[in-house]
Amino acid sequence: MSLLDVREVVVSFGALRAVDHVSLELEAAQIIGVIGPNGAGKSSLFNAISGATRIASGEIFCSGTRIDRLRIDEIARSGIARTFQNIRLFGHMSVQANILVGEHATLHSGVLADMLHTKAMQSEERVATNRAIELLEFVGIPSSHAGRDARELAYGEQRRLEIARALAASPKCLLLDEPAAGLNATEKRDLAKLVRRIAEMKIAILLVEHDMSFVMPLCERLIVLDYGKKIADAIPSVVRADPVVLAAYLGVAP
Amino acid sequence: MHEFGAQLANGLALGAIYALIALGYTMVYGIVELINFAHGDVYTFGSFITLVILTALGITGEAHGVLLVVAVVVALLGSALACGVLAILIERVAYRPLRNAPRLAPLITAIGVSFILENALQLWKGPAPITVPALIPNPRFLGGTFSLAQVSVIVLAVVTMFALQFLVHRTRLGMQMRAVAQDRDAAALVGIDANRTIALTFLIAGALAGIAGMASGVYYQSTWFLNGFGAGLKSFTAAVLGGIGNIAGAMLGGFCIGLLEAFTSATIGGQWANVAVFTVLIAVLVIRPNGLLGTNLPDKL
Repeated sequence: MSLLDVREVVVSFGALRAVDHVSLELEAAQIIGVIGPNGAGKSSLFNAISGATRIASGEIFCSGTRIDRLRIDEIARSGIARTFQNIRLFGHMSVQANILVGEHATLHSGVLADMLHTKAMQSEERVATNRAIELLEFVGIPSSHAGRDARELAYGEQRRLEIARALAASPKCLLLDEPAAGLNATEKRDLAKLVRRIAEMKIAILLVEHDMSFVMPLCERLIVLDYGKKIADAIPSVVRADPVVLAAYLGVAP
Repeated sequence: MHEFGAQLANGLALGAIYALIALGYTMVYGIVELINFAHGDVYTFGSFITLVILTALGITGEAHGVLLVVAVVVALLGSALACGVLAILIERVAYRPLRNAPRLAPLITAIGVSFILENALQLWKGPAPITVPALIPNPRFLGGTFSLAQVSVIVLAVVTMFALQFLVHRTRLGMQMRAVAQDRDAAALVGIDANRTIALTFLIAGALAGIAGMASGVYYQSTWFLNGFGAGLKSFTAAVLGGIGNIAGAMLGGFCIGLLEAFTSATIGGQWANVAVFTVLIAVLVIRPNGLLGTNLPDKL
């Protein structure tokens, strides 16, 4: 079984089927892109996998465990992390605290030890803080920014901080929702490098993106959605030449 | 001058109790943006529990030495725990089912819960004021101005505030509370159990009300089923005056209102105390709509 296994998932909003029997499989270290015209169901699919939206039918497994019935926070702790199309950092918390919050989700200290700041707790916290700084540097944010409020960071840095926060919980699978939105050419290049380095850490990456020049060289496979249905699933060069895909994007009958 | 000192002491002690209650309003508002109107009645419940505990310990008047320490600690912890549990129950039964309802729904529910608690408390202890034993002996400090009870209440409130600041800013639970306050969905998506975090916030707020209930019961040596109605309203005012969602603001607001009430009562007359309190509230909100220590942005918790 694959690391992430999505089977025949349906997401409905009233009569509208935002995601219509979509299946996909994702292995560790793989980078797969989900593309499609606006309203094709890309974000709904992400919300379904991360638990933000309940699925009407189908099944989702993460490393063999069924996750589609779990609460959002349980899904997160079971190894699925995500970023958002519109950045959703904890703006009034420090850059470092944003990452620590993600790390804490995987640590199991009691409330009492936490309140009493026990020795063991403090040393665990030092380890967590060091790792937070490492993660910051890994995504390319100077560690001198660690104490600043997250909202004070530049836009591109906020995007990367969101990735660092997602990585903090040591996920098996990372969902990136339009990670390149609003970035300039240089930043996009750096982001592509970062995504590859994350995949090298044996993390499976699923990304939704509009920017074809970003997606084509980065993803080993592309899944194309249109009106909630999967209309293509192949390597980028094949998808690019697929008449059905072209028709969906250009609005002509195939 | 002696009169001034006495009113200063009265005002600070009264303000300390308002501050303790206000901290609970502010914590809950900070995390779920709900004005928990039942909070004042949880405070009354604390004073009732204190009476029960003191009676069980066989205390009818001033205690000394070990007995005094034991009585204070047991009453304080017992009241805090009982009120914390009550607050969690209220959240679970009355507020959580309405978590995603329009904001007016939980607000009206909170008022309903307040009425239910008030009536339950009246059924329990009757409609008349109840005497609480004068537990604390009465040596005086600073030239006779401050009583031991007053000093204890003030120190208790200040220590509690610092403990709360530590909790919110230095512990993992505090960090999770701030994360949930800022973006509940994003907090869940990084693995935080928002329901648990919110329940723990109610536990803490309830415990603070319990501490305040014990302090006021012992300090004023009296309570009754509607004790928390007026005190709750004024403590809520204190939280708004200081900047709701802000811990130091709740403390500052509490002391401001306590002092204002004490000095107005002493100089103009007790019937003008509420007028003075709410006039100052309105004046402050006109100049600083977010309260004395509030910021323009929702800097919750």
